[in-house]
Amino acid sequence: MSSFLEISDVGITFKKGTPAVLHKVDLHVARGEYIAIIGHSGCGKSTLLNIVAGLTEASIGGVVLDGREINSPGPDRAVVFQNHSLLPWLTCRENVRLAVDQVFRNKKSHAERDTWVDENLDLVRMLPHADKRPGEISGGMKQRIGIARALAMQPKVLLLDEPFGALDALTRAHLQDQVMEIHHRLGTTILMITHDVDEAVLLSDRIVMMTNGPAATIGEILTVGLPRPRDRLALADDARFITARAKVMAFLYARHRNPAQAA
Amino acid sequence: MGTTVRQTIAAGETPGFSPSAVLSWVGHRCWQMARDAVPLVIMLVLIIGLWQIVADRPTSALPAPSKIWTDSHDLILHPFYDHGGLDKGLGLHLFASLKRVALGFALSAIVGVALGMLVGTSTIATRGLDPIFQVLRTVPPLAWLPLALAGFREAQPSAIFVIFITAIWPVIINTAVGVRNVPQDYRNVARVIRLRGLGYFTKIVLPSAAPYIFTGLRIGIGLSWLAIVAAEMLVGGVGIGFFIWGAWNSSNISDIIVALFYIGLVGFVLDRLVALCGRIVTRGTSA
Repeated sequence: MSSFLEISDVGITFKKGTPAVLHKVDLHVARGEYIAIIGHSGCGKSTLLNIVAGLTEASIGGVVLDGREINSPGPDRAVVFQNHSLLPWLTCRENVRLAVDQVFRNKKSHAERDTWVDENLDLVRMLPHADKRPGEISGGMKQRIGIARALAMQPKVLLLDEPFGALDALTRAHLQDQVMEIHHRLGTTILMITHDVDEAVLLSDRIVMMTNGPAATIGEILTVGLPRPRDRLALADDARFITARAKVMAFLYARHRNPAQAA
Repeated sequence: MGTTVRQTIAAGETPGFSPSAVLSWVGHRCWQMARDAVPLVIMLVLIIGLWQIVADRPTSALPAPSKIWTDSHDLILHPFYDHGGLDKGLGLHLFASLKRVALGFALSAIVGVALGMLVGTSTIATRGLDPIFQVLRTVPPLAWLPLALAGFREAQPSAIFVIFITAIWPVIINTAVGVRNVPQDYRNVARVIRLRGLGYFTKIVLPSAAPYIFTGLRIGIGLSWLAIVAAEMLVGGVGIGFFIWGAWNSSNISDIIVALFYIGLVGFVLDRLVALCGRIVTRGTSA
């Protein structure tokens, strides 16, 4: 398998003398693949995502994306943050525009950037609300703007840090469908952190299951063989879906129970 | 309350502005204003009435409202008369004071925001300057006045300097806090899109710190207005502070009470004005 994103032997220790948070994490991702990383709270999955994003530096090991080693954050690894992280003083359009202006400063003309911003807002169906400020729209809409901003950077890999964690179930399902559609249409490589088993099985090609910390690492990787495009209604009774779901559940709740809950 | 207003407007707009809908909207607004204003009016009547009863006797040291009116209605009705010299209406005295405050406060806003940014961004500047600021900001405004008079040898710039030195500390300190406390989320966004240097400063740090800066400016303008009256009492000339001092020297207690009332109103307006600027500049993200 040709790997597009290579996470090799990554480990991180925040303070000298304390046990490692992550230990020997090794993951190879192909171009266009959708990877879900699942694990209990505190297992370091967000830390792993931040290392790929370049926001946190690994203590040992390294990450190579498309043949180039990662040592700082950049728009080729756009992040959709858990709490959306939109700038409240800018409108939705201006939030996307800020990223586009910065990333395509020398590559696109002013008019091209205008169209590109609108195209991405349209992709997440937020064009009608583009001139509102983040304070005036719902949580789901904010997250859609976050996704539009990330996609507008034309990243090599899109990093989603529990993007739907703070949303209600209906909004979440709606956004999951949109992300699936975008992934299908653009073929973006996606790395998603989640703690929702259904979400992981529904969206991803492979599910990376993390063991509990300290020294958390990859416990198992499950390949989800479901054909795309996927339909959440049809899959609800699908035997393959149910088996995959059961396997992840068994990993999380039987073999690697949350230490906080076990105690 | 805001939502009810918006809903009413929307209801009034829907089927092509029917007159009855507009009328009901106007009625609703009048009702809201009355609801807000009536308790205030009642309180004012109560306070003035009580004051009148307590102070309306020959032995009273302070004048009753009725006496204030007979003594000083000229001041209340003609704020802009000018009989030359210091014999001017209260409006002109207030205007002279406001000019000093405007100049001193503008200077402290510019210098204060600049210094605050320096202290907020550089740890060396913090170590060097912050202890000095922390000591100097506790010096009472009027303690600076003799020093200013000695330095400038003139009343006018000394008064302005006192305003400046009074208002600058909250501006510096709040700006520094705002610049230092740019949320990690915003910094992460900036790092991902590789926004650095001047662009990072103008597009992320400044807007993020703006609400803090305006909090500092609001405290600053309040302190300026507190200090100007005291400073003017000492330096003399046209100005509301010296007007009060003059009234005291000629035992016009009624004039003093009228002047106090005006000072309070102007101070209130100044505070709201800076708050309004803050809301406009920060596009509603500042309280």
